[in-house]
This record gives sequence, C-alpha cells and structure tokens, in this order.
Amino acid sequence: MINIRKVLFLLLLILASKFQVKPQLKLDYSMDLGQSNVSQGLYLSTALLAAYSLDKYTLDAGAQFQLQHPANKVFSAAEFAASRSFTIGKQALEVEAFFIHRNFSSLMFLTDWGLAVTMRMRHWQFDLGQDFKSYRVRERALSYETEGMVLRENFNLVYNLAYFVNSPEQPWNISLSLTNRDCFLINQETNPMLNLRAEMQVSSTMKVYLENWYKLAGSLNMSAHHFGYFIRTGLIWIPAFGN
Amino acid sequence: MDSRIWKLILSCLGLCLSACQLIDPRGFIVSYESADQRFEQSLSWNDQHPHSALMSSLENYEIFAVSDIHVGGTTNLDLFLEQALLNQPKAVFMAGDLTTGHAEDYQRLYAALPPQDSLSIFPIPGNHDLYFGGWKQYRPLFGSSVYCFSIKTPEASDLYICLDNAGGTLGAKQLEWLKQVLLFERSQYRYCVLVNHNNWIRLRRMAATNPYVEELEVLLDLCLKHQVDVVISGHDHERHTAVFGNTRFITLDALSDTHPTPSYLVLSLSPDSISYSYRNL
Repeated sequence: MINIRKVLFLLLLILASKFQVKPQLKLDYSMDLGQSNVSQGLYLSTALLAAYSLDKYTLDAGAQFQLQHPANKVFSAAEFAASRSFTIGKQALEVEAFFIHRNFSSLMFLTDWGLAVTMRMRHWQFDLGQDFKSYRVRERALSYETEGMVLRENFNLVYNLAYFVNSPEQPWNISLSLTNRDCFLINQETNPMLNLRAEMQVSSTMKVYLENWYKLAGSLNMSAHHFGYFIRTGLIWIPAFGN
Repeated sequence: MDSRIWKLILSCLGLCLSACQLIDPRGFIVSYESADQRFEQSLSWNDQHPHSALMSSLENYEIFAVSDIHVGGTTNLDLFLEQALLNQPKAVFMAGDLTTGHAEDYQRLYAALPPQDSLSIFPIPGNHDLYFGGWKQYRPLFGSSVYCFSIKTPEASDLYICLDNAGGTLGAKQLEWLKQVLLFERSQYRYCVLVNHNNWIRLRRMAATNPYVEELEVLLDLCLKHQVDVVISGHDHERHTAVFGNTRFITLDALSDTHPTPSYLVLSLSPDSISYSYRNL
C-alpha cells in the first residue's frame, strides 16, 4: 500500500513538473432526493466530487453519503477516475479509467472498474466503455461458513447518449440523456436511465445544475415497470487556483 | 447503405412483428399493470386460497423446475410432464415465460397441465406472460404470482418462496413482503428456496434485462443475512450457476420447443445437503 502511494505521489510530481500550465480544481457538490423500489419511501443523499486537471490530464475523486436511506450506511460510495483528453482530427476525445466502491451493506460491498471514451460535439455527447463489477462478501459474513466470496459481472457496456440544446460555451444549457451511468453507480447495459439536466453559469467560477432522473426496469424485456425517480441539484465551483 | 433505407427497413420490420403479434412494443415504455398491483392482487388471492404445507414421508425428496416454455408449442412441455408424472417430485416449479401472453396460449398451456391432484405445480409469470395484457389471462387460471409454502418431512420443514419479478423488479411492496417473510419465518425452516423468473446475476452478456444494481444489492444482502440456500431463475434460456455466500443461484435452460438443448432442474433435498442436476429431455 505504501509503495502504491509512493508511485502515485511520484507520478503526480512528474506530471506537475512536466507541464508548465495552470492546474485547475473543480468541486461539485450535489444533493439527491428521490424514491425507488428499494428505498422504502423518500431517500436523501449528498455527494462531493473533486477534479484536479493539469494540461490534458484530470484526476477525479468523490464520495457519496446517505442522509436518509434504509441501508443505514452514511458513507455509501466512492469513485476515483483518471482521464486524458486528446484529439483525432478536429474531434476532441477523452479517455477515462474509473473505479467505484459501493458500501451498501455490512455483509457485502460492490467494486466496479472500467474504461470509457467520451466524445463531445456541439450538441451531442457520446460515451462508450466497458465495466467489470464484483459483488464481494465481507469478512464479517465469514462466520456463516461462506462458500462463494465473489460474484463477477464482466464486460458490461457503459454508454451515454446526450443531446444538448446549446453548445458548451453558452452560459446555460439543457440536455436529455439516455445512459446506464451515474455518479457512483453503473447499471447493467440493459437498464437505461433517462436524465433531463439544466445548468447555468451564475458567475465566472460557479455553475448550478438541476437533474431529473427516471429509472425504468425491464424495458428491454418489453415489460417496463417503474423503478425509481430522483432529483439532483448541485453546485460546481472552479476556484482560481495555482496562479 | 443510406441511413434512411436502414430506418425504413427497421420500421417495416417493427411494424410487421407488431402486426403479427410477436412483440408488444407498448412494453418498452409502460406496463399494463404495476408490480405493486400484481402483488396486491396476489396477496388478496392468497388470503382466500391459502397454501397448505406439502408432506413428504421421507427425509429425502426432490423438486423439479422448468422455465421459458413459451407455449405455443407443447411438445417439450408434454415430454417433461410425462417424466414428472413418472417421478412424482414433491413440487414442480414453472419459473416464468410459460406463454407468449396471448389468451389462446394460456388456454393451450392450461389444457396441457395434468390434474391438480396428480402433480403439485407452482407457476410464476415471466415477462412474456405479461405481454398483450397477459396478466388478465394468468390471474383467472393461476390466481397468484407471489406466494410461499412449505414442504414438511418427518424431521424438518423447508420454505419455498415464489416471487414475481417479471417486470424486471419486485416492486416496493413485494420487496417489503419478502423482507418480512425472511425476517419472521426463515428461522423456523431448515432450507429456504426462492423461485423467480428474471435471473439476478448477469454471468453472460444477454439482451434481456436483469434487476437494477440497487435492487440486486438488497436481494444479495437478504440472501446473505437470512441464509437463503437456493435461488432458481429462468429468463436467460441458458443454464448457469453461481455461488455467493451460501446461496446457490441456478439459472435454467429454456424448455421451449425451439430451444436446442431443453432441460429441467432436479433439486434433491436431504438432511445433509441440497444437490442439483440438469436433466436433458
């Protein structure tokens, strides 16, 4: 573990010394209020995501906390990601590696890692990737003489198809997306979610957004049933940093 | 090829399938009834028709399970029922996708089933059974899609819980009911077996839908907490098994006439263990 920390520190140091450019920090604080078939009424959660960008590289880290949820776990999930942007021809692309840890129960947890590529155009965004999920039994459950410690769901398609009313430079935007990826959660490829998002630049360093998520179960079985709905509101702050 | 030609071909194909009543496109967007409505109707039927415990005079007994019969055709179903009548398992589970949802297929299925006193059959619906308003056909014939019963041996008693996740989710009310059953009743029984249609674990890539990750987390946690022994599912049309904690997840082959390797599950329960095998038709 110490070696990994040293390597990460060295990598960051090399990155910082190599690029004579301004680093950028982005903080994204959000709150979710919603209902689902597993939430036993309304649930409330909050999350903080931080992104540190240096030239073409970005490191992301975030944590989610449940304020009102039947799982009774305050710290419910964490996400780490590293990405690099590049261009092919005139098209900007971003490739990202991510890792998600979901701390759902005292008996088990979920880890999910994967790779994704993002292509943003004037009005469209396409994300495509693969993820690999592992449901793991905690040691605490070992007293049950547990037979199987891990269940793996490999090669799950990660996707996001979004349409934006405005181009990215505009101070406000509205988008509609069909995706199986949210912060701290990637669903199976056959469980798409709908997200209607509105965002607005309120100052040179601050943006606010509101998202409406609808989750439909079984739609690809042609037997669509309501699963859940939630509203997310958030604040993105990009402080003047590294001057 | 021009994208407009592709769009035209796909639209024509969709219209043809819809017109032939092979698919029910409405189901992409909305169901005929909610999971909670089916659950409430099932509980109300259960209140009027409570399941009595099945008795086994021996400590060792077998149960059979099939899935994805997709009547239309009944050739494989007839073969299976012949073998079941011959072997006399304590119970036969039909884990969903019994039909295509059409009224005439429900009637064909019902006509193929043996008299109730010759075999204890426990059906549950799958997603196909809900197509074209199929619940309205299922309910008068089978009454309930969510129920539990027990099998008593001279020394012990085993709990069987049949669930309706045909819509890709149990729904809030059924999930709560399941939690209560496991919390208050599980400890009174030796083994606990759950039967439902949609397989929980996505062990291979497939076009069909499984439960949401959030629901799967709750279900896996319940299985760990309450020591569920076996979860039987269909839906995938291809057999596979997995173990998580002490729970064995068994997915069945399809029994439909078009399936190349139809089989059924034999679950053998004894005081020491539960074993299983797939028996090819």
